[in-house]
Amino acid sequence: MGSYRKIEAVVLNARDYGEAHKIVTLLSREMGKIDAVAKGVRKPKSRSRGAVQWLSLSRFELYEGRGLYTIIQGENLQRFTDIQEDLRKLAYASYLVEFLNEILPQGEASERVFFLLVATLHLLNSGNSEAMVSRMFEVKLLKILGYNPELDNCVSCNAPLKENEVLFSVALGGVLCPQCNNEDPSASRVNAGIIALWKKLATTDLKVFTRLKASSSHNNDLQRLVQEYVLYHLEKRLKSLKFLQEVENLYMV
Amino acid sequence: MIKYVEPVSRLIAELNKLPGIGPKTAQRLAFHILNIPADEARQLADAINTARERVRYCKTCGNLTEKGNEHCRYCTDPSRDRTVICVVEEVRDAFALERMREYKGMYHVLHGTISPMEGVGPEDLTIKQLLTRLRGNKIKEVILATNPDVEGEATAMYLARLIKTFGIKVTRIAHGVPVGGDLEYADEVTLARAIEGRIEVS
Repeated sequence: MGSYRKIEAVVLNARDYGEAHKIVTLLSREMGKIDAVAKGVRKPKSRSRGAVQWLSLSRFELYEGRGLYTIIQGENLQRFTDIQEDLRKLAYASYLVEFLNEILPQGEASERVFFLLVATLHLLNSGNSEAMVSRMFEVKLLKILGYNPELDNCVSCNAPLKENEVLFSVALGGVLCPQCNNEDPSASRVNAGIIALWKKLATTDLKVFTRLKASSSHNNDLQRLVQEYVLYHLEKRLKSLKFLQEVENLYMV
Repeated sequence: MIKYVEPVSRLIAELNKLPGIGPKTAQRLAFHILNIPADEARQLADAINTARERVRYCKTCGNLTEKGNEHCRYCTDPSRDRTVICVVEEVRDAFALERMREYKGMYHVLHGTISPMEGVGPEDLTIKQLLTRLRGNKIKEVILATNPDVEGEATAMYLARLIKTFGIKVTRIAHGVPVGGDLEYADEVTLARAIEGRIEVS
């Protein structure tokens, strides 16, 4: 027979299912990423309705049937309303959540990923620079999941890098020294300051994150680099990036 | 599995494709159709065909209209207020608003909502057509009546930002406690919105 479990989780995705149900993708503290069926939550009378809204941090009681989780009860803990009421924050949050959803394997418990997401949503919600928060999330998540590139020494010959401009190879997963630049002809030239920013974001404690500053041009360059790197590993373009760009364009006028 | 004769299993398979119809219900409906008078069955088939053939989308607002009419009855009704546009997600939302008999303005049906994670962007909706209407400069107000869920809110925020550049008044429908509802059972967000949007009692 099945068993019952209590978990804390963030709703990453919610799709309509059948007449009044939803299938939600949750990132839980206890069980990692899981899919669960929430029955009847599209009816106005449903008591768990608030708990299964996208981006909600909620406490759930699950029933584990044959390979399928069903939500018995849900109670909302945190809604991150500022994110949902600000188009730009919402676009960034969509992107980060889609990125996480794509890169994270199903059902692999990791408290660190869960806490990183919750902290990131808090930072976004409380009005920190969306771009900085996003870079921090990307870099830290890549590190936790073991995708951290080699940023100190040349990936090919292991020589320490001292130049102001280095080559970053997406395929080899790290920086290249000038002597090894023919190891990957598609490697892109980047300013050493951007690599330094990457390292700093990956190691800085979240509690002191708000003290970190970076110029927007450095941030943009790092964004391009990280996205190229992510694209290589995911082998697909994230859908919400296009919307994010559209929203950014809208705010420029 | 036991197979029915081909026409019956085909009918079951087709009915099964409808939303909310499982294999059992599809089977029940198929046998019901087989048992009713041939005339009634023909009428059903004819109704489906005619609906598909004759229904078109209004060139202006995206609402339903009949073949031969480029514009829907709201867009052609001279007694309606042409300076107000109410933006809704689906055709059935426009009908829901029409049911209250209070609103006498125009409509605009988006045919969906912006959903960043599903890859549905502004270009997949009828936003371009809406902007063309706004350029006609007779519009005084745009009411955003998308659903109060994440996608609906995102769409409303996006549109509000776009439409404000035209210098047109943009309003959002109120969110609050339903009539006949109970404060005790309303969720915090709804209650917060209800307090925010409170109105003075005259």
